[in-house]
Amino acid sequence: MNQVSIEELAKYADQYIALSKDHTKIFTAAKTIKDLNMKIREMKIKDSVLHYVRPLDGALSLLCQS
Amino acid sequence: MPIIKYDYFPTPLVANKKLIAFYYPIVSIQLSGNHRIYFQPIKCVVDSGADFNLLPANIGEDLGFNIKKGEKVTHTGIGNITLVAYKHTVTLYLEGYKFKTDVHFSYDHKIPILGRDGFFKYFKKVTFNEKELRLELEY
Repeated sequence: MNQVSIEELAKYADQYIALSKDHTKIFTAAKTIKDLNMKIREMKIKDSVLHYVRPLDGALSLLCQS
Repeated sequence: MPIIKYDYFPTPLVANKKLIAFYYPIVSIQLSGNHRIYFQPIKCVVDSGADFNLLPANIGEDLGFNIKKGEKVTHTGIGNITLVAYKHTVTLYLEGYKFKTDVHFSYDHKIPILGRDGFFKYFKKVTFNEKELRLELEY
């Protein structure tokens, strides 16, 4: 089975997605985790993985110090 | 010694006006805390530049934590951008391995991150194989 393509993932930039565990399908997406979880419950989705698709422009520098 | 291996996960990025795949060391974790298990795995970036684990606050709320009751921590990133997070103790599950650790939950942060103190230190060896685009976690 083919994994979700980069082109498909790009449609969900800056959104949280419910991805199938084998990475072949995007069940649903939302701007916030709260909204995504509501959709997951409404659609009775099981076996999804939470993933944030980063914005398409610019590199990420994830350094975090406290 | 057990080694958990992950292929880097492709993420879309626009570079020179072209859509490309940029590969990140991303792992799927399960979380429990406050006597609850988070209902789905969470994909997190394994970030050697991060001191601590940092997750969006909504995840902690779903576990039933009163987020702002946790110890307040200020994180500083590149360009001195700061954000506020709150520390809570969770159990983190990764394949067949689990450990109790702290997560900083923030309302100002979207990308789930696993950092050195809350994640790396629970492994004997963490290898970023940039040639083969593979992360290896030995415990």
